[in-house]
Amino acid sequence: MIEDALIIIPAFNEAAVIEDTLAGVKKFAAHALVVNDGSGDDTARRASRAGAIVLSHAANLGYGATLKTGFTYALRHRQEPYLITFDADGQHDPSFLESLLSPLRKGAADYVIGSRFLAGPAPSTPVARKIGSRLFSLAASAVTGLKITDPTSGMLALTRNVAKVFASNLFPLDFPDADVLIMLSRMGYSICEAPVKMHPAKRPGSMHAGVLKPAYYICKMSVSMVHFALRRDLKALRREMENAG
Amino acid sequence: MLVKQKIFAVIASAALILLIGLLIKRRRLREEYALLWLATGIGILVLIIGYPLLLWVSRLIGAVTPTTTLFLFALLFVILISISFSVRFSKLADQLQQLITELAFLRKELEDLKQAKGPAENK
Repeated sequence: MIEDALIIIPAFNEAAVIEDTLAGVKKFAAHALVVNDGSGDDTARRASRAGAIVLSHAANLGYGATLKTGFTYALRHRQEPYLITFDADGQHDPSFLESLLSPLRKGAADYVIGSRFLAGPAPSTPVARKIGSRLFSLAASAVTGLKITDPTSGMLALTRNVAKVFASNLFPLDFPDADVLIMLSRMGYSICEAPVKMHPAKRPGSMHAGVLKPAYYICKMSVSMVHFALRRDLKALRREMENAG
Repeated sequence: MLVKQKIFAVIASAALILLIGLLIKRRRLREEYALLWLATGIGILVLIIGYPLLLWVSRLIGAVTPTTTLFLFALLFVILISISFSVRFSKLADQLQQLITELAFLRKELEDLKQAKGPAENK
């Protein structure tokens, strides 16, 4: 049973699946925090009934902002040395939580990405997302010098120091992606990938659906990646944040 | 520049300045948001009233007619105002996110307090 990590689960209208997800997580980890992002359904009550700590946004802020709330709460109110982000929709397999944490416990990394492409065939994804993910993988790998196979993964493990960066205004409020990897790498944090299994989402619909949204996302991500690749003050910001306690 | 064009530009810029002044007076527009709008109106007015200045600026930037210079400056100001709004919206988005996060923490604390108080009151 994992006692040294808080599992942060961002959730938006996941009432249908949140109890199953939490039941799965609770088999492997003792502490789970659900951040309910202004859901219009019963997500918060069901998550609370399933034994999770629940925080509720008064309005829908988006995935990145929800994670940020989770990191801020963990830094202020919890003591676990490690944090793991885990999707509420049942895509992530909790039996991989231990292997995700392993590099952090050994001190081999500060940030671990759960890669669906390292653990056998990954579930099929929409073409737009596949192309975007491949482009961002290449860009992130080129800048960081690491082989990144799954920059869009939502299953991540990180230390409290990395959480301090994520709780700051450097963290994107929509979707953290390859830009965050570039930022962490340029701050000097060590990054690695661990194989994880992902299931197809139980709920249809994706933010990458349509034409305009993926196009906007690719443009926004490109600007964000260039921004972090060009910044010269990231190492100084890291020292500042770590010294701030 | 035709006299008609001059009269129209003076009326338009004066109306803009008056409107901004009125909005500030009625507290429907904060002074810090009005600065660029006022600068736009005053800038156009100065260029029209000081016609030799407009001619000089037109020659300087290579504009064929003074009217083009006026439109160009008006367009530049509108772009500046849009950028200024984007900066303010970004700040507002950050502040909104912080507010909602803090509200979520307060809600959680309140729920915890209620839960702790509930059993104690039943004793």
